[in-house]
Amino acid sequence: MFNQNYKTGYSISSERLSQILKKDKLQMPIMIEDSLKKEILKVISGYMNIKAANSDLRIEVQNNGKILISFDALADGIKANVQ
Amino acid sequence: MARVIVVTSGKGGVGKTTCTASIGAMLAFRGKRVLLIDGDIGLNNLDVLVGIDDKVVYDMADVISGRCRIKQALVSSPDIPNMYVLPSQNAYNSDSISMKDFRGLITKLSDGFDFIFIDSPAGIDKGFHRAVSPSTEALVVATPNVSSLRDADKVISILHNYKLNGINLIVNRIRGDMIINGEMMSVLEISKLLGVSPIGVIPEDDKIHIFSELGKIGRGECLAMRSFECVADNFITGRRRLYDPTAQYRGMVGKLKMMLKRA
Repeated sequence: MFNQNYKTGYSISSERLSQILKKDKLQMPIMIEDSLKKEILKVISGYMNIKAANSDLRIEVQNNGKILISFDALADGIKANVQ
Repeated sequence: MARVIVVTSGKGGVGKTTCTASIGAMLAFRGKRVLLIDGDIGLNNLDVLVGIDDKVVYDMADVISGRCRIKQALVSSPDIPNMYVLPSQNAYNSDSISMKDFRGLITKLSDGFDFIFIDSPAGIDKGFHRAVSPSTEALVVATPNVSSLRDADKVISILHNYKLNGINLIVNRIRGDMIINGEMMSVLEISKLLGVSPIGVIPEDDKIHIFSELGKIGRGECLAMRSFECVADNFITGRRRLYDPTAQYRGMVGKLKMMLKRA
């Protein structure tokens, strides 16, 4: 009763779950935790030498499957939307 | 230094607390020093399942605020030597215990135990991240149905961001007769879909319900408890000996059992 080898067969729900998980993975970037988003924002702003103007990091999955990351920033006193 | 393992699932009601208490008890019976921490603030139940709810005087919030020493808040059951429970705060206040305070508490406790299990709340919000943050390993509990596995998959993806030493899976409440008929996913299918190895397979067992109601989780003899013994052994030895849910339904006797079950 306790061993490694057992018959698996094929279940009616595994294909359905597989499709659901594939679709979910496209949505995953939106689920990044807030404090991690703030860290990402700090790093990107520091690298680009701009000030992230009190902004939230926005992450979207577009229809073509590409991931768009954007935030509002201040560059030389001018407000900009960085993508 | 203890192995600090967060027990999580995403979906509620899949058996996280039962698994935490059962595996903890089995490890304690094998001589390991075990601490169970109830990470669910406000909806805590670990004390009820272990049967020590009438012994709780201080909780985690009392320790962190300095109202008591750590040892005063640790509660043990007379039936399970070597195992202690640190109860959660009964009143709901999501900000009462910060991530930093929680991590500090785990660091102080780490030297005194071999295993620390943190029973995470359901979901993936603040409480979940607080439970994961001091952990070195994760144990994801899932039942073999689409909704539970979908949530488990999301949790596993988030856990990968934490760079843990290991992420293991327990498939809980499995039924061998339904696997053979193709009505339930097998452990191998689940493991492939989630990309995580199972460390335990626990069969559906009515006796677990009775043990929970009596606050006797971890004690008593039943198939599910024997499976939890296997999980504890796997944690200690590093092996992957798993319960085979289909074994009892093979051959002529097995087919007869299945027919009787369906009658």
